[in-house]
Amino acid sequence: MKARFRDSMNWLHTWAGLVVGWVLFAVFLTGTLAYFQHEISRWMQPELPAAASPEQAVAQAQQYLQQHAAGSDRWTIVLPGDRGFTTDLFWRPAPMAEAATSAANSATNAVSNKESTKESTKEKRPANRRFERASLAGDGTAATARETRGGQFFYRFHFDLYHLPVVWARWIVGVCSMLMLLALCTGIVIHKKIFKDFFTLQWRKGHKSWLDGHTLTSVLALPFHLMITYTGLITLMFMYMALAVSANFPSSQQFFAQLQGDTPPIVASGQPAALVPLEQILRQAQTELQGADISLITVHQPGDAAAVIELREASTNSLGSGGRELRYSGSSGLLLNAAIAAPYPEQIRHLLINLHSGRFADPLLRWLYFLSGLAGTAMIGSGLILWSARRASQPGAAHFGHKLVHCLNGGTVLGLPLAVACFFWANRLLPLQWPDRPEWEIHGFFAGWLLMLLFSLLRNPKLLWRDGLQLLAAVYLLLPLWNFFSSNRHLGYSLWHTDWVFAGIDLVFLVTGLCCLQTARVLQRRRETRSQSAIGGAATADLTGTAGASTR
Amino acid sequence: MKLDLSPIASAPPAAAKQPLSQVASLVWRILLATVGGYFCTVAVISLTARLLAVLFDVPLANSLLSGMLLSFLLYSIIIMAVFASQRLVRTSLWLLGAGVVATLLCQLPVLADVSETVVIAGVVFEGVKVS
Repeated sequence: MKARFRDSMNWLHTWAGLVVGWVLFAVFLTGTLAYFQHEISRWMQPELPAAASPEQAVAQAQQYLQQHAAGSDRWTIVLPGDRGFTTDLFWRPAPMAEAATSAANSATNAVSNKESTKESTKEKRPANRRFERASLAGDGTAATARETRGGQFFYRFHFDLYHLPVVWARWIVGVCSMLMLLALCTGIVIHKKIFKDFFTLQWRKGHKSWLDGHTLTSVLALPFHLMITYTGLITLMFMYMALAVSANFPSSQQFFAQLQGDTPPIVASGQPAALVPLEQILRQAQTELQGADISLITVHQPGDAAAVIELREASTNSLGSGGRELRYSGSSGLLLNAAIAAPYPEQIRHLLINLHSGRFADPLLRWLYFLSGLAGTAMIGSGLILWSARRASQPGAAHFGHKLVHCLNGGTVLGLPLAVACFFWANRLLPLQWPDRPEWEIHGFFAGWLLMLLFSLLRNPKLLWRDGLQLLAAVYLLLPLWNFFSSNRHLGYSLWHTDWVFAGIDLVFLVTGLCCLQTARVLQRRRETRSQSAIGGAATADLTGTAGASTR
Repeated sequence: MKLDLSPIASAPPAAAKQPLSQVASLVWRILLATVGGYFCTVAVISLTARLLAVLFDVPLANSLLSGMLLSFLLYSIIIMAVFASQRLVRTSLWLLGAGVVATLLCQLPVLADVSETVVIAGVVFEGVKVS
């Protein structure tokens, strides 16, 4: 390509990063927020009481389902776990069971291979759902909190996007992730002095400072970036590498059967039989799995003599945990299979997915995940801005493409944080009985994004960043204040009661707002000094960038 | 910047004559890296998986899954190699050739009939014939 290896890699790094940078920014930011999805959901439903213990939750769920879903052929119970606050129930009222698997899958967020291939062929939108769902609060009654998608919206958005068929969205995200992996590998190659540059940071040097900011955020969390990108591809591997399966196996079912063992379908016998108490089965299963937590319980043909109870191990205990399944007879309560460990490659795949989703992480590690994710978001953002900043002083700066990149940069790097804030604002501002409330919160998210895109299109490019950051600062600083007036779980209350879920989220809003405010002030000060000495601007137009500027 | 990692630094760039041929060469390079690289990756991991299955008597699904876990690494290396290449024609021939050869080797009777009895998770599969 270019005469030198490093120049080729530089070219690849620049263009691979640029074309997908905006999608990646959105994916990284929402994915990072998804590490706290349960906490975010909690913040968005301040009315909810505390969660029930697993045994209580299961007993309550069984009671509720026997009352409300007696004729169903499959119940799915998602237990609250350590961080959740509701027990989520799914069932199909009519005797048709195909979509229930994917429903259960979306509920547990487990990217399990069998389901993920089936699931990918199906579009799942709230409107298309043909299964019933209910959320039980800790006291066993249907939760009466405001309706919201909560943190799950961020989780789904970071690989399913929105307003797009799921299959397309996942392919888009996959292509972007692949280019991200390339950008990371080429970034390492072109950055020869990876540690030396650390000690020669250049503050306030125009695009060189952006380069250093880009390098700093990349290198500090480089293992995380590589890990998260690669394991992200692994989570949807059976979709992206479906060709490898279909080239070697007549059908994907045979592949999965060889990998995980095939289980015969469960057919109702027609003889009614009482279901054993699920609470008791849960205890048995936990003993069988050496005390591991259970995340998901599926009851096939409840109320029938042939009923089967399926329990799936949660991946919250340790990095290697999760994925084992136990099956019990629903009428006798006897164990039907032994919890055999999966083959090694399958275990490694599970481990890599666990590494990506971080469900096993304790609070400290979770914060590290979160901060590394933010560093990744900043890496993408600074890379995008660097592309613009480096070209701003060059002859072709008025080119349409440059303007487009500038607009999209502003609209994404500023727009996504605004969208997230609008999502939270919508949660607090919309009336509680508003029809289709969850959907309107998401409209708020996209309205915020669109607003910033329009703003970056119309605003004077030199003032865009300062004004945008000031807007963000206002929006984030006022959120805890509004929370103070609109709910009884405000910062004062939560700090007093050491409720770290609510306090933490409010404090993160405050810190975000202060950071935006400070950056806006720095930009303002720089503008003032620059207008005083016009030479400063020329000095920063130093075209020979440190990493070789031959990237056009 | 003394270190030059490219294998043939003195060779002239593949497309340095006409803007149009430059564009065509870039488009071909991108297609070769993405589409060609993808098929080559799949072919190589299929062949490796079948070889491992035959040589070490493991279920094909296991060796294929192992290959798939590494596939994105292989894919990125191929893409980087294509973009680093000084002689695009030769690289194209190598890459496509490797893909075709791997695909053909998979059709060899020894490798095409990876059949065995597999016992996993308590379920017995008698002679799963895989073609």
